[in-house]
Amino acid sequence: MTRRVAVVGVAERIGKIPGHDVFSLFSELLIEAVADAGLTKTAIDGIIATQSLVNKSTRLSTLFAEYVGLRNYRWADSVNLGAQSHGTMICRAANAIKAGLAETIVIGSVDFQLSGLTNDLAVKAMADVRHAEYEQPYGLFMPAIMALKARRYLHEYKKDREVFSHVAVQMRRHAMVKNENVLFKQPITVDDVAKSKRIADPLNLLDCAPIADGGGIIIVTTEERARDLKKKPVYHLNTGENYSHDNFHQDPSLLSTPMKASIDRAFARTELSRNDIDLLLIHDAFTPIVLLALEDLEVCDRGEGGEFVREGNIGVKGKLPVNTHGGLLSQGHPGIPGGMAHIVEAVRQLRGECGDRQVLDARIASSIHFGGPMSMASTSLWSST
Amino acid sequence: MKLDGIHIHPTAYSANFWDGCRNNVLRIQQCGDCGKKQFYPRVICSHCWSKNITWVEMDRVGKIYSHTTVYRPPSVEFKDIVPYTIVYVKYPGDIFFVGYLLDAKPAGEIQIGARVEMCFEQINSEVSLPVFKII
Repeated sequence: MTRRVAVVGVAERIGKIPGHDVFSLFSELLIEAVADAGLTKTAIDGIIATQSLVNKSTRLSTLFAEYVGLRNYRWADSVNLGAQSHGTMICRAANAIKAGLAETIVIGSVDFQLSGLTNDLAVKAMADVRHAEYEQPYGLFMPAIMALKARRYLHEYKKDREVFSHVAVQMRRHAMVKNENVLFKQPITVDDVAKSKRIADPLNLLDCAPIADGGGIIIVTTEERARDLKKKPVYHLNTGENYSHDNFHQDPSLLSTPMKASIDRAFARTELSRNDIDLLLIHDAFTPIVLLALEDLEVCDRGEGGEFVREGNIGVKGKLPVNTHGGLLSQGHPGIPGGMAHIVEAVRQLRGECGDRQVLDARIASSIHFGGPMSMASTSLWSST
Repeated sequence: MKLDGIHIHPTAYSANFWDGCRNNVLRIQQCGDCGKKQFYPRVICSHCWSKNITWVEMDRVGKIYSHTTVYRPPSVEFKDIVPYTIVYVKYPGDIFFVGYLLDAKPAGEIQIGARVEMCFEQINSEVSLPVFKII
């Protein structure tokens, strides 16, 4: 029985992708990921997928499989935990493989919030999930929720909103280096972020990830099977999950995030410590999230995340490179599938495939996903050896 | 504030809360066994799982824990009321409410920690919505 599982194939596409639906894009990404692995269709014996806002089926995994002609495969699952689904999908797939229920599993997530819903309808869809009696009547939606957290952050740590701007600027630099499969390639400055359209103060337009189409696929298999495939395997070490609440108004502090316990749980079953992470991929739907993650990871003190970013520490050559692909903020935010691009980037970095944006000697990466109004989180640890 | 586009459908468990709002009182649940309060209304006590739920009137004064002024509406229903200010208000027992801040001021003039009073804005014959005023 395999001791651990490895990612052997990846594919991602983010941007404005007209002329597709979830099935056609899934198919193209699957063929790309299978080719990346050096596998063939017959190797796939399991599939797990998460939800889409455009196609509301609760069984997208089996629909995806049917569309690409998989039949009589051994294992399937669907995870509907919003953008936190990715950490859970990895766990479920890894456990299934370790238990011998399947050997090679496709993990996928795609959506069309931009082409399939329009910007306005995608924002509305995210507002419609708030509590019908105690939240929706107040026009509470994700940017306002993050703004309430951001305001509390600035108050508690006595900071100016400029601390958030540095994150947006750095993510844009990364997207410009990546250049392909990114929504934005124009440089921005701290001043541009400060002067961008007000959304929900203290957050402006450039503090909020732009809605996009897209998603990603990873293929995982046993350590043994991974050895003779085309690419260098990237190993999944562990995932820690943490669930705090679900409705925003049950948030007890706005700043104590569910990430912290998920990070502790991720490390608990490994021999690694926080200092071993060479690269962080974090679900940067809004700029303040990156600061909260850096502080939960204890790479800087509470309230000092902005200064840490301003000093260049999350750049490719910094102390802890973050979202070297540009993140949701500059690559684009396809909604629930957003985190797949983060995992794909972790894999490519650990393989050493990233060219101009390659983090030198990257050996351990961590991907952090969260869902709901920052009410649940997962932290996954990945290794090149 | 123009709120006629807002619809609320009270449930069997929340009817008592909304009835309180229509009568200008903040009514929430308290457990008859462990004594703790909870919001939102539920069929059980979320602290000790007792079904011995009672309703009590709570002081309507809380403190602003955070605030934001929304400029980009989440949907067409809110486009006529932007910019609007949402406050996150803390009450004793770690109970929080989201609500509009009436008589909105520029963000720089709203103080975290300021005392606010829950008031009730009638939006139709059945529903009065909790909103907040700085006192």
